[in-house]
Amino acid sequence: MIRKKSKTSVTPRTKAEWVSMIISIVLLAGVVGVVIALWSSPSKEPARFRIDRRAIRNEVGHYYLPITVTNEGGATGAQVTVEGRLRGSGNEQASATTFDFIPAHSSVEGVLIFDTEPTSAELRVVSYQQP
Amino acid sequence: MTNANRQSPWRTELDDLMRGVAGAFLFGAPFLYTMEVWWKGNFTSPPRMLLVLGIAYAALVLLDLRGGFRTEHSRTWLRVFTDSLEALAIALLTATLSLILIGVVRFDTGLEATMGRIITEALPFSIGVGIANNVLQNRDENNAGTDGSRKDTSKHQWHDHAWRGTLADAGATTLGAVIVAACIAPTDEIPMIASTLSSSWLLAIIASSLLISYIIVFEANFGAQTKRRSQPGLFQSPISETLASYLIALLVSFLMLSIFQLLRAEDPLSQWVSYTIVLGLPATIGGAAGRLAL
Repeated sequence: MIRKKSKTSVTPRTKAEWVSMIISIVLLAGVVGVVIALWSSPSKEPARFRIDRRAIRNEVGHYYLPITVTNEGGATGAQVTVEGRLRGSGNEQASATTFDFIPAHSSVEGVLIFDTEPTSAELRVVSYQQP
Repeated sequence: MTNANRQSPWRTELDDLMRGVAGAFLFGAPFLYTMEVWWKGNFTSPPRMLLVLGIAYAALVLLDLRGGFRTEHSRTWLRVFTDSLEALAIALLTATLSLILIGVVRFDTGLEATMGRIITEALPFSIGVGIANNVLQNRDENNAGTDGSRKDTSKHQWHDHAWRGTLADAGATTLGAVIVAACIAPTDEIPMIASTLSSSWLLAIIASSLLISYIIVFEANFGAQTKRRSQPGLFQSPISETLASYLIALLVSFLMLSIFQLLRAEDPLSQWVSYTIVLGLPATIGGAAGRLAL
């Protein structure tokens, strides 16, 4: 029935080759699936930042205020500059830091340093770039 | 090719896949240590990700016609297409693992940025898988070539004096490691990667450097040659070669970092260790490439 294959014809796939092919296809399908899912739910919303404070630590006369900046929007923010202002007795203190990139739904960490206890510091993102 | 038919199909398959992995790292390592490649991933839109995957796949199909990662050439179009799918999966997997390893993909990275970084990085890794066969030819095949006699003698040294063979390769390793490490050492990626890694991650990088180097050495010297590989004495050779070449790579990394003043005498020991280990990964891959080039 089946014609005898010539020497140059295809050798049948071995079991091992089947296994690796199936695993590969599953992995690829997963990757493509995730990308398509991201595509189909496009978040047109711009970058939006949330700043969380963590425990302040005191280092020889300076107060270190660690912050976590989370981008809750759907677009990446570049050169995200966070500024902290502290209105104390008469004088005002400011401290700022810039993050290279905060992709959508990602968070990064940084530290703002003040001379006085910064619990009441006002934190905000003052600027960012759209890459 | 005939050897491949004799050995167990699982081992052949593992050999082929490992050859793909080796190729991916050989070509992909310099791109892995380029922050602009990760950054592009930060703002790659999903349609563009699919486009990049499509380009990688198309490139793999073309490369598979002349190279690919399997010892046995794909003989039908269907095989070419499925082998290229596997090659793309290998590229994505190795890119993902290595981005996790150097701390570029983490839990707090958003899904879109994660996919963007992986897929962008997978493009050079794909090309590496696609040319794996061209770069990582078995020495047996080389022997048929013009410079066969030289390779033959070096192979006999392998049998008798594994260490002498290793030392003979030391020069090539150093050269390859210098070429790669010199390019990467003065860049900002080294401090950037090193600063985010804990000491346990550094151990993971050491282990991965050894593993990747071992895979490359193994596939280059012993690919599809079960007979030789199954002999216990010779099984030691790739391990000693791997260890020796890793030490050379670390030394070269350290020197390059000192030359470019990333490491200075007043810097803390932890910085010396972490920078050297981080640069050691591409350097050891470069060293392996150096041995292949000879």
